[in-house]
Amino acid sequence: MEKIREKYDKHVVASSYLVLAPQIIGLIVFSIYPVFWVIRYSVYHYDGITASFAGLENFIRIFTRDSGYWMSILNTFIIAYGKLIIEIPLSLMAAMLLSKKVLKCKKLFSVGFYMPNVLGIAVSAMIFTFLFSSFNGIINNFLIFAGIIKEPHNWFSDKWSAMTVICTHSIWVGFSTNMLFFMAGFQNIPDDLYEAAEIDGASKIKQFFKITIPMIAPTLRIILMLAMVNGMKMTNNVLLLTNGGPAGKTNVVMLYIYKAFFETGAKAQYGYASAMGVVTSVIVAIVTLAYLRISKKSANVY
Amino acid sequence: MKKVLAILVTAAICISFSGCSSKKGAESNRMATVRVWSGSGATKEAMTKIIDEYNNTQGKENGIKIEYSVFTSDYNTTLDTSAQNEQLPEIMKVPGAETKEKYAKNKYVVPIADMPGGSEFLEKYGEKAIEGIEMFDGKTYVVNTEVTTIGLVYNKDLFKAAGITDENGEALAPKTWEEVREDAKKITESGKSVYGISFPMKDYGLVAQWMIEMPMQATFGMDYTKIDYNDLTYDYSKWEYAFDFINGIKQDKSYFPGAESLDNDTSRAQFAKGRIGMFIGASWDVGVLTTQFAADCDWAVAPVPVAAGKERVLQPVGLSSGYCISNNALKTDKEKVMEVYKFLHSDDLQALLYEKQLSIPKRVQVVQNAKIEQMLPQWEMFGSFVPNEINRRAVPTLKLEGDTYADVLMKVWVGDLSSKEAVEQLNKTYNNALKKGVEDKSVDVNVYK
Repeated sequence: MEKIREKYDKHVVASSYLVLAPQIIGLIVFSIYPVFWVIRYSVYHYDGITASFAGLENFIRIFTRDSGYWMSILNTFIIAYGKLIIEIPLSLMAAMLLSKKVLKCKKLFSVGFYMPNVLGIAVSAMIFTFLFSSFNGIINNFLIFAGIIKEPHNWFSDKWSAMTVICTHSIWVGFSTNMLFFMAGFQNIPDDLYEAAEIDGASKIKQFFKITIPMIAPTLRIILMLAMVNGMKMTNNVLLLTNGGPAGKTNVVMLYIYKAFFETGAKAQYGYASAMGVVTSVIVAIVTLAYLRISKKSANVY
Repeated sequence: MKKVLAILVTAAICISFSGCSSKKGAESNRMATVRVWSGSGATKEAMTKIIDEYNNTQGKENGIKIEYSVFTSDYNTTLDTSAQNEQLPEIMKVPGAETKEKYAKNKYVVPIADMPGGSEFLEKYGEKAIEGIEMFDGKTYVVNTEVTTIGLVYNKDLFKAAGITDENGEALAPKTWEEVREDAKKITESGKSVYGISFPMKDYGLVAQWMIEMPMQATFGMDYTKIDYNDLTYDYSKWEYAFDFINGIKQDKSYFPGAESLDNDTSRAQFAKGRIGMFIGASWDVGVLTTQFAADCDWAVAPVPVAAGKERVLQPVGLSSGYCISNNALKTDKEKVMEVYKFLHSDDLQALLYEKQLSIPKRVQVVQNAKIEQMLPQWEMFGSFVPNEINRRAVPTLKLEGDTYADVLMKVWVGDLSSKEAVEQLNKTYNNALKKGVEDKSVDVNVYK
């Protein structure tokens, strides 16, 4: 009996590896191997054809002479974390509405809330540039009609209104994913907790803060971590909405690196751009680890 | 049963793969295949027809088959990767003087004189090659065939509606930058939802080079950005005039709104709809305004304006990428490669492309001898801007740390820098980069002196 089981396991294991092999090979060749190349480029001056060893010069330049890079890091933090202030409560509320037996046409709303995500970042960003356009843009026309402003506001002319547009777009596209995570988290809360609280005379609000929030704390922890990491990787929507904003003021770090890599033509400074990539990944790693450390408590709530 | 099905399906897939192989056969033994690469999507259709005709007539006689490939996106990256893997085609278009310099230094491309019949070819087409643009280290690698001319594109209807007309009641295009500012203001005030001028600042690199630097060279000469190779200094002081002009337009609010998020395509689409009075355009706009965004309005082309009180000193043109011969050509039939090279530069081919309104030839003789009956007046106007002698100047490739002149233009537009501050910052950034380039020997100033 044991012998037969061993054979069966080996067969399963072997075919599992075979099935996974294309994925793993792809991951190694296209994701992991290039990382080593980037680290290698970062210690050279490289313009695409000739390379000269630079040692730590690129890194020194980042830390002493490149204010644009640190501005882009600051912008990234502001956008990625600032939008969470609105996005998390919004997704939580949407998840609550769709989980409880409150709404009649729940399925319709679920689909409707998820549509922005299906539309995709690129298409919705193009639509947003038309919505917020100064000439005949719907948002401006609506605000004028409602009497809030007198003449069309140029949303992309200064840093903070451009950031507002970027955050709005990001929230609109992204809140449905978090909403789904929360809904999954709600499934894990046993109903008898609520019943017990009801019997003890707790109000709905108290139930929410004392039962719901603590019970979804592990889910919330993961969602916040994902939102932070994805926020730091944001490029496409900023590129399409503002292209780095009026004179580079809404540059986010990945967009800044992308421009340093691909938009300098024959004067390419691949070595410098790779060094920026290395520094950025270290920063993201530090932030994530710090966050996981601080929020360790919430994983062991119950 | 399942196994049989699996085998049948596999066999079917294998058979369909075999259809992918191409027929080579005995033909290739006599014919030499010369590969030509280009990044120009606009001329693809016409060029493919011309190449096919050549292959069926002269090509068959001389035993040459041209394989013409167009890469409309990521052409630069394709070229770079092929260059590093020694897989460049025999002849290819290489964009930009810096890329040509890179390739020449690394011997990916060969001097034309090294090819059979190359020196005679250079005598006819080489003219006065300039070190740093067509010549590198004293050897000529490319002879440009096409140019892009610039002009002021304006909407005649809006000019007439604003009352800017000559004695016959025809729209009067502005001749100086001061008149541009005045006319833009008049047009903006003349109606609802119309604006005098448009600057698509989302594409600020394009604006800086094609709408500010090149037009200003018509007044101030090629030395608009003055570079002193003895002191190793850049002098951007003449740019103050352009920055003041931009600030004037901003003050009058006579530009199409939302300029920071306006890209060139949207700007031209709005012009086609008749909402913009004028913009600084180039010969490529003729195709855009006739096929891509067919203009609803009556539009025309005038020479670019000059500064008030000054004379026009030259006609600025942009040099399109030219054909280079790669080192792979040395391994094949050199004479046949040279035949194809001569064909690509022939006056007939350039005249054909000019008459089809696809590209403007560099040689003024071709322009003057072309048949103009089928030509749009606007295209003819752009063609008339080709100068007898192409003015161009080689500039060093610098590793800049900081804002380029395009970035600074954007900062002036949003009001972050005054005209004077912008000039100071540009001088500082470029001076540092030039000095550093000379120090680490990546720039050889003797080339440019």
